[in-house]
Amino acid sequence: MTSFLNTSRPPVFCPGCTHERITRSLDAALVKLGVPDNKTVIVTDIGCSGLFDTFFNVHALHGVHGRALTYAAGLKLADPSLNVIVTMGDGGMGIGGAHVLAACRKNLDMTLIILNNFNFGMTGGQYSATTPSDAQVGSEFLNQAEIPMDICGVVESAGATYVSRISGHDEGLSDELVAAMQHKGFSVVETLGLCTGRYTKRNQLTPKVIDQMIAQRPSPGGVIEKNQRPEYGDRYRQLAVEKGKYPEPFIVRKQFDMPDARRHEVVILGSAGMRIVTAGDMVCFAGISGGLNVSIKNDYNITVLRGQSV
Amino acid sequence: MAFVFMEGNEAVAGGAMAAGCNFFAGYPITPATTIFNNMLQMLPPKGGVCIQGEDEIASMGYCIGASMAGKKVLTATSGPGISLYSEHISFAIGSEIPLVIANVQRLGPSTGSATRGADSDIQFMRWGSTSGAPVIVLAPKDAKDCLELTVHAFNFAEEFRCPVFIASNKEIGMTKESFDMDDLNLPPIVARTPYTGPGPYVPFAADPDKAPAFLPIGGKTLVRQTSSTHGPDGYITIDPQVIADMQQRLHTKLDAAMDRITLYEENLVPDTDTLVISYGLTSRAVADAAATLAGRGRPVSTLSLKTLWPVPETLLQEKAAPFKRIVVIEMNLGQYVNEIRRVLCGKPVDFYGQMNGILIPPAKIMEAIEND
Repeated sequence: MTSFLNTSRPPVFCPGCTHERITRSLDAALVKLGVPDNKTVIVTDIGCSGLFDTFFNVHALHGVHGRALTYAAGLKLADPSLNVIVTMGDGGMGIGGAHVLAACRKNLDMTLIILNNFNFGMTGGQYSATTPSDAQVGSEFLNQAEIPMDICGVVESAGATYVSRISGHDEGLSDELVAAMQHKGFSVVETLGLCTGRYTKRNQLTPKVIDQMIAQRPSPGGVIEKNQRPEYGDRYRQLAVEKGKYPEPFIVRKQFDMPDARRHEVVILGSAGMRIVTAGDMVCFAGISGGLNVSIKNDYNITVLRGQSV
Repeated sequence: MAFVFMEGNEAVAGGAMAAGCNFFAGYPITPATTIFNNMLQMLPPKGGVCIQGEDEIASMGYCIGASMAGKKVLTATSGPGISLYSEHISFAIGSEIPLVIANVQRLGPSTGSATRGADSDIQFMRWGSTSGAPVIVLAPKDAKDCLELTVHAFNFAEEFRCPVFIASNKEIGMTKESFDMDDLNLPPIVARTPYTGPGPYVPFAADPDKAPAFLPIGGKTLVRQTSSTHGPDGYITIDPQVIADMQQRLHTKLDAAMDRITLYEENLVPDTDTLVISYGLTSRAVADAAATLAGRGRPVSTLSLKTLWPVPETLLQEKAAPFKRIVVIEMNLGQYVNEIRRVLCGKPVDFYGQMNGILIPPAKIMEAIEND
């Protein structure tokens, strides 16, 4: 395979947009890896990074904002042989933060590329979770009252086993993506790039400035030694095998005739933790043995080992 | 005879396994949690996957991913979880992703009462998504129904490629009952239709009244799936005719099969002038009330709907036609009665509803019937 790019759907990014470079670098990385197209899926989020799935001839799933990692996890758990690549922007990372953290903690063998261009490009350049406080964006002054989040710092502390930060203009980007995809576990690559349609119209951001940003806050460098552990799917399947046998329903057969086979009602009262439900079960099993239909209705309040609660 | 003693939630899990479910993702919530607990016992020994999502939105996302890889998926929640499921219910409707959602309803609004039952979400399940395209909602009345209807739910989800709800209720889900496994009436298992055509796979190409044939993500043939408005090829489209055809097909694929989707029980008594319509748990109190009234020489007929959505309009019209008066009983302050009034327009429809955290006693139903 010389290219996975979908020639009938060429990239449609704004002139100068870093996303186009990342598209081509991802293609080059897939070619270097030599992965089969039908064992590869690109799962995309919303916004400009959400266009990626249409540019590649691999399996594609495009879903709602911030949730791409959840579909990716479902796919990977269902078919562990899939190479799963997720693209999302700084917007998707912000709205889907809980899923980013969960993915880091799980460590499924997937690669997340976060295309950080410091704003919401598609909706008008509003501020995102990574917009610098001194940037001029489409949300008036709101970004000035917050601080941007350090994506790599967050995912590293959440347990990602591979974390790197790289300029979308870096010549080594495709090699970096290869390394991330080859890593067995959850890998996160934060790419820094220019949103020429919005952000760079009012902010002095150039590839050189991006290089300076990375120099000031260097990449964690890939494999995070302290976070290394078994891949989630492998671990899950290992634990599941040890889980024991299928719980067949317990069959009760009639063993005697009740001398008084009319409707009976039994109330069993007690405090939580006194095995009231178990006592009820015993009465009911006895009833079934006597040929009765039984039901047990619990006044089942949620407070544990104490009194009433709704 | 082979009696089992289980709560409705365990029966939903048992039904899912009988239907071939091999993936579950959910987030704990009273009164639905024991479906998750049971699936966690049942799926791993069978090689299935059962996981706890970081929230309800994620749980649905995991299910969507797994379903697109070809798994038969189940999730379970209650009203507050359905609220969070909403964006993914819309995704599954519009992108034709088979899913079964057990909604063990509790008293709303909002967090409401975690341990008090109500048929709170009857309209919400139908309309809690964008676009107005339909879903299927099945309402069990007891534990045995939970098992049987869950198998139907999987069959419908597979055939029509849409979300199917089990509209359970805390009072069914967490009430243990005995039933005879030998009495179970399970339909043959249906699997989604795989694409076997000679030409290239067009993922959303289908007859105007059918769901598209399926191929999994990860199979030999490349598959495109998208939550965006798409044409048969799975790419975004702005072609008004293509959009209109796709939108219409989401409705027509269910409308055209209503005779098979419509499930119900009836007890039509000759020479009665009143038909009492109910569904779910309430239909059991209605049956008690009807038996008592018959004993008093004032019999009524009853119709218990198991398919709530799409509304079985033909059934309602046919069954109601001979009756002078319709009485609808619901464990809420009037949700499905609006559909019945719409379908039976002009016919007198009386209503009794109750939403106070307790079951509707048969005496209240008799009062409503007799309060002519």
